[in-house]
Amino acid sequence: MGFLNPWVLAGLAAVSVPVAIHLLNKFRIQRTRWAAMRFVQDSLQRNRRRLQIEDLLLLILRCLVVAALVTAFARPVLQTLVPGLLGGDGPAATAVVLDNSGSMGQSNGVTTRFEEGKKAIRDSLENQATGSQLAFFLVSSRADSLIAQPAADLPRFRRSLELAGMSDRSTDLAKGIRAGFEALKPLGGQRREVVVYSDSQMPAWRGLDDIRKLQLANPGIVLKPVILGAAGEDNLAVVGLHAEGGVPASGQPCRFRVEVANYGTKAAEGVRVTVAADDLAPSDETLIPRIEPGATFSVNLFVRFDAPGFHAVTATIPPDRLAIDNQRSTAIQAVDRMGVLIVEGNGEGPVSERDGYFLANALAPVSADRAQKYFLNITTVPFGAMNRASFASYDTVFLCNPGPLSDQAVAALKTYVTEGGNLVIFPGSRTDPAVWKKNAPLSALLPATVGPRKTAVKPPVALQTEGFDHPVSSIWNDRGEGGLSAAKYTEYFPLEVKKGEAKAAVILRLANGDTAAAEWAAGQGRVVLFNAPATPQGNNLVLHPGFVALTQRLMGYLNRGSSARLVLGPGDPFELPTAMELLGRDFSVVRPGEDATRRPAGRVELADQQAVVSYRDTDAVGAYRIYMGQDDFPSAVFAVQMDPTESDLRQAPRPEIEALAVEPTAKEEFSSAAAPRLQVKKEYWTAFLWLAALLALAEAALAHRMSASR
Amino acid sequence: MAEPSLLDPEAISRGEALGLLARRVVEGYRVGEHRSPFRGFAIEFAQHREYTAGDDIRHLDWKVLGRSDRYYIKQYEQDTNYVAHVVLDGSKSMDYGSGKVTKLHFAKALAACLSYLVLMQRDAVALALFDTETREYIPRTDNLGRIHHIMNRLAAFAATEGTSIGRTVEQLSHQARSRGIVILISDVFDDEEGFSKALQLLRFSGHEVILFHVLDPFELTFPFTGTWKLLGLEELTEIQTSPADIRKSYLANFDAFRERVRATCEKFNTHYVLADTGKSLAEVLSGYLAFRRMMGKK
Repeated sequence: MGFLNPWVLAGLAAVSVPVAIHLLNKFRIQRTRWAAMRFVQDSLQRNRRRLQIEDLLLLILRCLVVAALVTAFARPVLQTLVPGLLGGDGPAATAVVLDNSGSMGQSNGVTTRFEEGKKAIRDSLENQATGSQLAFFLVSSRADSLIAQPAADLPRFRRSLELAGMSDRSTDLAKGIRAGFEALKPLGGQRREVVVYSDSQMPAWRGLDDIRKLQLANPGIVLKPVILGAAGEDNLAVVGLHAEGGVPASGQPCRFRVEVANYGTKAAEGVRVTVAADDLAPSDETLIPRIEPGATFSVNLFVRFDAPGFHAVTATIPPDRLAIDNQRSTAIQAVDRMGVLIVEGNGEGPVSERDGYFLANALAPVSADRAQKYFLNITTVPFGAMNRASFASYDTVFLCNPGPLSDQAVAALKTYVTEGGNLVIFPGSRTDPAVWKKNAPLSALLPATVGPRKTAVKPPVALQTEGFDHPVSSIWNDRGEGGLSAAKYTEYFPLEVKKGEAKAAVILRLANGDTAAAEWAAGQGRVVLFNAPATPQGNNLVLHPGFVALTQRLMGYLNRGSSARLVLGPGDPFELPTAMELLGRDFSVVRPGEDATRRPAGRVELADQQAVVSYRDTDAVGAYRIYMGQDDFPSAVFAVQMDPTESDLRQAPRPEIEALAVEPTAKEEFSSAAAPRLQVKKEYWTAFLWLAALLALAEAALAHRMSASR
Repeated sequence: MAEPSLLDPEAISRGEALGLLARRVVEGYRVGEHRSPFRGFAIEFAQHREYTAGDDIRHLDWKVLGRSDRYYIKQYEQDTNYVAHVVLDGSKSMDYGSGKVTKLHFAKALAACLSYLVLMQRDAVALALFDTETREYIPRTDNLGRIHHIMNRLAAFAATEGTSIGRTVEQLSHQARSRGIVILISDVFDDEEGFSKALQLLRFSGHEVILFHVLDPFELTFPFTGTWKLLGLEELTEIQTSPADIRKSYLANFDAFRERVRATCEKFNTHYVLADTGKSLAEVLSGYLAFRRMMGKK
């Protein structure tokens, strides 16, 4: 209990006024002689006690009226201690850090946690001491400083607070806290606080160790986490959307893998998942019967693109409290036809005995009459004619059982790969590892060093049966999709995968741990190296049905290697090489959720001798469409996807987070600050006014009754 | 020891003022009525005596003159029709007055008026002034010329002590043997039992008794506000109080007292007349005399 106008309480001295009047009346005596004394005496004796009580009662009532009035004008209030934004009586320097990550969009049905945070900040501003300085940061996966240096400019702070908006980025509170500490470091001699308003989801505190180090390094700065919302909110989220399978081509069904995670505490049942291309009606849907708490469920859905070019695909689940992760978009470039060149070491003899026969059939598993229209246009040349081939007209080049490569051939291949081509090598009987090892340019191009050929391996070594960790082979982690264990090797080239800055990835392993296939990026293209020929000599992989899937997935992977840059994280810049004839043309963009409104977005510029479309305003998740001039069809489509961890709304353990708010031991450093401020919870002056009125009424009634009775 | 009040010029002046007041009141009344409001008793013949110069020739016995040619005056047992005993309470309590006129002054004026009125009718008047006992007694006289003496005595009288109506009346009954009218002028702030016995004694002595109950308007209404210290006139006590607080109780007490006095009067067939000093003397007196005339007609 306290008073807003405590100085008015001095008016309580006015309580003595009724007493003084009472006494004054008693002592202001008039005198007279009187004859009828015995009647007065008799009346006095009869009424003395009643008179005394009534007088006392009236006096008390009058004193209470005065006291109630004075108390009302002193504005009595109920106050509570607020360890809020500005905790001291003296001026403080405060860095306010507000989490604006995607998870702050979670709604309680009325308002989002981001709005809750803004309201909490506004409320705490009420307790601001004059002269306090404020800095303001928004934090997500990065720290944005709206007021970088603490300033005693409250209007500016309020305006910045109102203008602050959400982002779709993930959270790393350590970045915002660090920014706050850095802003407060130069200030001394006053109370310094970093106040963090966040939903405190667990991934947001991944930098907790760094935060503790910051606290240790800056003992004069107090960190105060303000946790918004309650723990244990349920949330279903689309955490993954990838193109699967082969090359996405127009007119061909393209498979997309949709991953739905349940971050709640109870199982989700009957979750409907749909996919749609280019904001059209859903092209496919499925119903997930049940997702256990904490589990992720994957489904495959198909989309067919009518035309080649860039497309956006969106997967959607039913709405819940956090809207942002109820759908997820990706972008893909569908091809019309792709050129594939197969170079055969042995290109003579019966077709079925040539080195590229099984590979060509796996790449185009259709009848001869349909092969002409198949999206993979396969060209086969003998090894000797390789130098005459123009690699640039092919998307992928396969070398099957290559012999020694000339320097010219290696240089041509290197250029081809560096400029975005894909090279796949199946070594064979013509391959001499020792010669390749001496050929430094070739060795540098390969993801693994080829060892001397192992022959007559007994028993034959099978391919791995589980633990596939490469996108090409990961499908076989699901036993329902079959397996490759039936593929066995009696002869193979041991591959020593290169490690270092450009680490190579293993696509397949043998059961004995040797590498069966490895790949890496070289320039803008990729190089894949197998450990055996694409013929049934020394292995039976090519005879295995899984070989078709393997080659198709490999083609899809290599193609998506160029499409991977179509999927970004929030805030990542989008850059896409384009045709030189577009150089200097203006382009516009249609952002996610903005219907067909085209915003001028920039101009095609030259970068590294290439015409490049560049766009940086990618904070919002969803599909972006870039149009050149007044074109009807987008020249490029890309998608921004939220970090899946942002959908995990489970809060970090409160005690651990609240323990961060430790008062500094070096109190002398901010001696101007005092105890936490009192915040007004409720005012009572109206109640006291009513009380005074009631007492006055009672006094008047009592006085009237007494005068009547006397 | 000579009574200084008798020679006191102020007392004399006040006595003259009283006489003038009484004359004006009574003459005014007589002019209007032409009849005495009081009824006398039968005349009893006593003896003859020789006429001397100065005697009123109305009392000549014409029959004797005719028979013997000698002048004789008829003398009667009593000179007047009746004797009016005016008994005035001169206690300290009568010395209270909220305005310019005290109860005693009002009572004196009333006594003077009545005495003048009675003498004007050639009736006799006797005056007794008392407090705890009879302080002043003027024997009966029918000589109008004595009125000045009566006035002077009244004017010179000052309130002294407490009241004892019972004792006074007892003394009076010894002096007033013949039946007459006893006019008691008092505030009756006395022992009510003694007052009752006094009335009983007077009635048993054959007197007609009239009580002029002299009260001040403040005593009747108790209108004080604020805090007052009341100094007792007869008792030595003093009381400090807020009269407003006890007004209702006081008035109840006082009205009950008046009612008891009235009841005692009625019990002994005594006329009770409230003499409110806030009213004019003529109003009080004429009111009673009109009442008395109306009673006489009956």
